[in-house]
Amino acid sequence: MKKFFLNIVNLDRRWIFLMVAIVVSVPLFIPSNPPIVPARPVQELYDFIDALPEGSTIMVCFDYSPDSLAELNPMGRAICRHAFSKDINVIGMAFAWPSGSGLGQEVVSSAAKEYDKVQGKDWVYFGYKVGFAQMIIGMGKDIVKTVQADYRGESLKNMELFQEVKNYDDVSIVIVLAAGGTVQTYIYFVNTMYNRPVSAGVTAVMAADYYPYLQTGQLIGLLNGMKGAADYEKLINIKGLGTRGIPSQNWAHIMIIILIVVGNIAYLLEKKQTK
Amino acid sequence: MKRSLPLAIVFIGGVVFFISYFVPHYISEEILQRQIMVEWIKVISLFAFVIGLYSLIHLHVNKIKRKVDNWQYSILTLSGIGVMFIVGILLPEKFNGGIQQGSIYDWIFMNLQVPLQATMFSLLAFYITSAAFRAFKARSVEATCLLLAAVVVMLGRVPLGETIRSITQGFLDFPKWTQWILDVPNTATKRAIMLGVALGMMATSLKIILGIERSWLGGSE
Repeated sequence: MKKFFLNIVNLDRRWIFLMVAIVVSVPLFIPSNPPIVPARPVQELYDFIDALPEGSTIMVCFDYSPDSLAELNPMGRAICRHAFSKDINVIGMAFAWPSGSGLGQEVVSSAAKEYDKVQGKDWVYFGYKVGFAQMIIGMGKDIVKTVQADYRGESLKNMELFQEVKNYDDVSIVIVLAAGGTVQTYIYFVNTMYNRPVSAGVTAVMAADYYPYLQTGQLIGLLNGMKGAADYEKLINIKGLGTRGIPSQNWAHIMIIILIVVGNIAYLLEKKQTK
Repeated sequence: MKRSLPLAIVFIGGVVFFISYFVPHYISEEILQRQIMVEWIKVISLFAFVIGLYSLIHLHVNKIKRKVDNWQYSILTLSGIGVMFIVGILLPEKFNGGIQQGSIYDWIFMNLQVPLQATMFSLLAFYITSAAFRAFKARSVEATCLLLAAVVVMLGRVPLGETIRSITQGFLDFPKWTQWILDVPNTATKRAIMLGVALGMMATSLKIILGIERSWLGGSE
């Protein structure tokens, strides 16, 4: 046994890569019903949106590129579905990354299609615009003047949605789905400068950074990685890609824990041997 | 003059926009922040884009000319730029041109760039697992604390944590412990780091605005 642990330290990393590939891909093909209990910050965002009256407007910012879509796309989809199911209008945008524009467009438009929502009236997608922080500041005064046109180049001026929505005062919450440090920009300007509610959905690796903002109330709710997406899907009773990805995450975490334990046993045995 | 002018621009811009942030007046909100800043940033970004594009093309053309190692990839990069430019800008909409959903541009983006970028990022899982196995060792008290916290959070964020909680009837409550780790020690530590970073940023910004820190000008005195 001792020999096994001492030898395993030198395990070729390609075996580890193979194990990761197996534990991540196999669960995707096996239907399962993992127990998902929504975390408190996810419940907070859900409750906020759920309590909004019909005809309210929310903004969803797709500040990520394709590398983070596995975690953030399911969040966006779940939030948009929730909003549309409650007849809440959605304004989508991707001001941070040009490559996020196509992703957000697909998420918002496909959710809108599911609920027969009309573009220009129930939802609008801005796409990517140059001048990230300046756009966010400008929208606090006048959305139409600042953004001017949607992702197709159509003027916002004549759109039905913008006859009522003038600036952040007419937006119930700004939800930022981010894979970088853009959430702070929205907190600084939308929340601090214009005093409007902001929420966030972020990749698991950066979620820890946003807990101070949750505690201060500068963020209303927080969706943390794929688990955050799965939690939200659970709340809206839809099995989306977040829920489908959770078994893979489950087995990957189990494997990492086992490897850490094995690695530490080997380390302690090695240490004892050298003494 | 070569150094004084940029320093003066930075000083005036820094002071004016700093004050405008805190003064809710028509001039600061409407003229400075919305009209001047939004428009200027658009113009500057456009220049940056042109320079970036030129630099990228120049770099790869040179690589191909000099046949440096892996120069073949430069052909791919340049072809990518060319193809996306043609289908996104030059090709008329009746031939599925443009950048809207259903266009050729959109198809290439969704079926090439998205899976390629997602694949690159997913490699992280393989390297993290390998690194955790080799490097995540209880070498000291601090490292042991970190290791235990990591194991708790990893268990608390997956269904296994929920299963353990229900089997032990709430005795081993990993999800609850995870939330506590994130809410209490993590928040306290992050806040301390954020305050430190904010103070550092303020000091650095002041030094730049006042012309004490000049390394951004490049070159030597």
